[in-house]
Amino acid sequence: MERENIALPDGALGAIRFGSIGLGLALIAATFWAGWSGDDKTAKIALHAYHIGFIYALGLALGAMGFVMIFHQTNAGWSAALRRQFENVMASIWAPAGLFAFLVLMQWAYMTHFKDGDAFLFSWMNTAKYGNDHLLEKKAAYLNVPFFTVRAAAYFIIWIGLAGALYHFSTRQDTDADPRHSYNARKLSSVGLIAFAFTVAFAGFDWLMGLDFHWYSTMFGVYFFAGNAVSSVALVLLICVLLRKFGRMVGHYTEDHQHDMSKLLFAFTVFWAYIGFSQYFLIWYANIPEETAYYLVRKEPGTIWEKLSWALPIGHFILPFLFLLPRPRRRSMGWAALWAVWMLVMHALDLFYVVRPEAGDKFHWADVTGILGPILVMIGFVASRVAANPLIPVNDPRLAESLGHKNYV
Amino acid sequence: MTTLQPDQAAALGLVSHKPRSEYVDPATIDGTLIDDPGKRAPLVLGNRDFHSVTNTICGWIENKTPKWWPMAFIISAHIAGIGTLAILYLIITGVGVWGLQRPVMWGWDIVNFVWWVGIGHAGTLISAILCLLKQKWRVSINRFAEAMTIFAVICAGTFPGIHVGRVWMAWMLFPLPNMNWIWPNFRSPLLWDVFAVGTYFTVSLLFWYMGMIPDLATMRDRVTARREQKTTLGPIWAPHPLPGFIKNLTITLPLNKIGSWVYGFLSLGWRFSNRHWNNYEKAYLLLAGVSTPLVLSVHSVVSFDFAVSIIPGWHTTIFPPYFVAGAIFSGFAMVLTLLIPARELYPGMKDFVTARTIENMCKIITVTGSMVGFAYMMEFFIAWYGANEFEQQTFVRRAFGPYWWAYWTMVLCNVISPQVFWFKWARTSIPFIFVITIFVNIGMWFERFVIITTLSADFLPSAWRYYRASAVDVATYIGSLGIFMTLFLLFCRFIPMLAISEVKGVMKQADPHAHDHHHGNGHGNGHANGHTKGAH
Amino acid sequence: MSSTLSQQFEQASPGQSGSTQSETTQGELWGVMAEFSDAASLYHAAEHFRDAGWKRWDTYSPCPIHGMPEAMGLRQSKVTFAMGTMAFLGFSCAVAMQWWMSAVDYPIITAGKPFGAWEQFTPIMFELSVLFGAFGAIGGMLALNGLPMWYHPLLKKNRFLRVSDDRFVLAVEASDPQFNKDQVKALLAKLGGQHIDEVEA
Repeated sequence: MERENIALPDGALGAIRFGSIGLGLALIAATFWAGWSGDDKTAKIALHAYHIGFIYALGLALGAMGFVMIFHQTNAGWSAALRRQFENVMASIWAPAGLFAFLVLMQWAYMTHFKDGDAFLFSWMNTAKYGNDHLLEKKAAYLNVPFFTVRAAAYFIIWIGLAGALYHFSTRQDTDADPRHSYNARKLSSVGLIAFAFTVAFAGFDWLMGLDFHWYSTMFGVYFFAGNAVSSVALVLLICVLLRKFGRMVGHYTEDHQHDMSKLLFAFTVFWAYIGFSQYFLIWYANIPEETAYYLVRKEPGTIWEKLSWALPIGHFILPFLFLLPRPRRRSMGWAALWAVWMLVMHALDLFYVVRPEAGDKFHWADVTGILGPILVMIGFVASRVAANPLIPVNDPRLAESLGHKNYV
Repeated sequence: MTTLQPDQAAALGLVSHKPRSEYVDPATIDGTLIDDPGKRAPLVLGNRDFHSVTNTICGWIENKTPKWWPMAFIISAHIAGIGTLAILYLIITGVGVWGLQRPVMWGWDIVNFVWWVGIGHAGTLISAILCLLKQKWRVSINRFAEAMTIFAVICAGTFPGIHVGRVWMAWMLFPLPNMNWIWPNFRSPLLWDVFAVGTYFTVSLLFWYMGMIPDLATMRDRVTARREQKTTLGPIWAPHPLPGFIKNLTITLPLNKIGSWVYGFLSLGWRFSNRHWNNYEKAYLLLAGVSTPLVLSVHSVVSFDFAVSIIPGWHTTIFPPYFVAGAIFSGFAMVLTLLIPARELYPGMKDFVTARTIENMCKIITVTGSMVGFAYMMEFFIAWYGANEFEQQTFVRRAFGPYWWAYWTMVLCNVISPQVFWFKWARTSIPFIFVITIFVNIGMWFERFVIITTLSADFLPSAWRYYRASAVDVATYIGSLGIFMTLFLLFCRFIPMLAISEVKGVMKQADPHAHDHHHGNGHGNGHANGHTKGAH
Repeated sequence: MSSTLSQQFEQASPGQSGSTQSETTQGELWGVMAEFSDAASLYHAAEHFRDAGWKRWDTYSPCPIHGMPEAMGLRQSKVTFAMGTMAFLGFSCAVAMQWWMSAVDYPIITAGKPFGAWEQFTPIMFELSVLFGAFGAIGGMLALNGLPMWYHPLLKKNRFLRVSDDRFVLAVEASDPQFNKDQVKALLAKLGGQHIDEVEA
């Protein structure tokens, strides 16, 4: 196990780290400017586009955090060698935290800039328009700015705390080789998963379901998690394959690990479809006005949303399902990486489908910059984490088991 | 087990960051409760080789019937008889003998149906999902749990079957051509149930049977070896004052011949060929692969029975995954309820079903119980957030209305009681676990009861009515427990309770590289640091 | 009955008593079998037979041995195709059946739902795919293995029956082009085989 195999040279990935963050920040600035210089409708579009990018970046970190905790809690052996890459994505939670702070700033700036306009991300904040809405009156105890802020702060404190602690355990173990860190990480993950379940569900309610405050679905928290799980596995798979491509992690990320990562990608693709279908199906079947509004907009004939209503089940489920079904494709790093990229794009479309219809069906170039900006910032953060530490948890007590992992059947 | 094996002792010796004396009393806990992340607990204890595994597991069938068995069987069969009589009475008289009355038209029957189907889910989880997740500890419980699945689904299927009223018309549930030229309504969740539960039963049965083929072949070979074996009558009739010449009479028991025929027929001529194992393992994995979404779909479809409606408290989008979590939760509790006594009653079973296995199951109970609790909270929150008065009223009425006792029993048993398994002493105290599993079984029954009593207050307040079950309801339910236990006792008596070939497959004797190098495979992971020292 | 039946089985089992059977071989030769002491030696013997290009031979073990298909040079099982085909068939049947029955032959208005909407058919489409797929997996497994086959020359050998307990056996069929009784016996002995025995058809 030579050092070159399990670590990147000092100052590696510099171009990606700084280029990606720089470009991302530039795109975010452009998005902000687009909204600022346009009318309130453009501002609303810019907010929504940026929100998609922010949720995408957040989802990557959250999905990875969920996996790290599940690996620890189940004492998973096979994944020990590649858990570091999940941890790198997880520990980049600072990026979405910063992005969220900018989102708040952006919302505040637009709010003051377009005094009478509708430049709101969350329609319930627009008291001028919805102040007399009966449902909003009923929900005011939950949907108000102070409580919303407190909740958001609490989510990020919990996430950053969990991610920081888990990352600390893992990186400390690299140097002191104490198996106690794994033990502590397991203990923390048990409690952490409960906190994670509630914060992710309520973050989903607050930031996605709350975009249209009329609508509600008990399942939405689970739907949010399912999407995050898909995107984070896809990203980690991609990172591992790229590292292998550049001659790293040879013998640590083997065909058998690849096989299992593809299986995870496959499983969560199916899980997403299961959750998405169940939610849609129950609402479609019961056909109650207060629920169907959400899908009514998205199935309006002739709109782009209607096309997405078809594109998502096909592209986010049927195609990857059929493609990843044969065993050789799951074991092939090239094919699996291709489908990881595909799923990363599809996840963006999924979020686009959830968020964007709330801002109407006019489009603006800010849609592109707003979505890409935060994602690029996130990629830069992840890249700097990848470069900062050994590529595998070198002293993990389960590492030997992980390296010998085989899928026999 | 009073002495620790060398590998257990070594593993325990290496874990030293916490005083462990409380956990390693070898008389009660077998030393498999290793907390060290780098160590894997041994899966089979007692320093066993393949031969002793076969002998122990087959011995439970071949040896003399244990004394408790006939008694337990007679009691279960009688209870099953009561249930059968209740069902007959229902068929002869009509569904009115149940406590069903407007507005509660789905009563104990649907509660029992969902409860039993849910219990079945643990078997599929253990055999399919844990197989995909490569959880090797499952091999000692999967046969047992799958048998439970089959019997639970049989009990479950009874209830909608007899609820159709005219049982002789039950064939109309299936899309069969008939003289009325009509087809079933494919938009009805009840028809989806027919397909889902039917598929589930068939696939579970096939999966169970396929897993059993090698073990039936083992039974075949053992019983064939004893085919011509002579037995003196004496010991069989020992308590009776028979004359000496009868006692000394030597006969060939026909049982061995019958056994050789039956096991021989059922094992399909399996001969343990590795060319066969290659196809067999693939088929096993594929079945695990299709059973995993199947088990999710079955309880999702069952939840659709409620959730596609527009009844407040029933129509909520989290129902499918929430029902699945609850199903697995109750199923694991039922597996433990059956496994814990079996483990005590059958000599040597503790070497396979280790304290670790029990502890793992307790953890799954806590996880799924917490998921259920999570879903309850989400339901409550969204009922408030949705700002629908009917929905809100339903939930307030559940907790504080006339059925408050059912609701709080449910919360106590389902959400609070499994939380004790956060503590290691609770996960390792066998009697305590047994009590908790009973709580969970009760709680999950009440969960469905809470759902159906939602009907008692429908949209027309003048029709509100307090639902009470009738004696026939109770007798049918108790009877279904009897049917379940009867089938289960038969299973314990005639079928290898543990998957012999799978247990062998996780033992070190099955590893062709056991002496070449050390990795994975549950043993000898002590080289972790040796492998990785070169990094720094 | 002082001893349990298991113990009686120990006494009656052919492992102790049946070692002199090979002398009584009569009839047509089916092949030669040899016992191996453990999984590792069977594995290495299998590798040898694979590399020497033998065609009609097989190993027998009480449980599947990891890596044995590779050691024997077996390909990935074709059960997958059987299952895939059947699952697709089940899916197609479900689509055709439901659509024809509820949208064409007997359309009834329920809950204001369209007659042929895909949503309402999805549960049964899934269930039938799984049902047929499971039939395909098990049927395919049995068909590829040539089971059920209640008669087999090996099953007549008392020693062979202990494979279902704890023995590891390698058997070479007489129909293999390379087969030569004495050479095979010598080869098996060289590879560590014990109790080398001829099997009659």
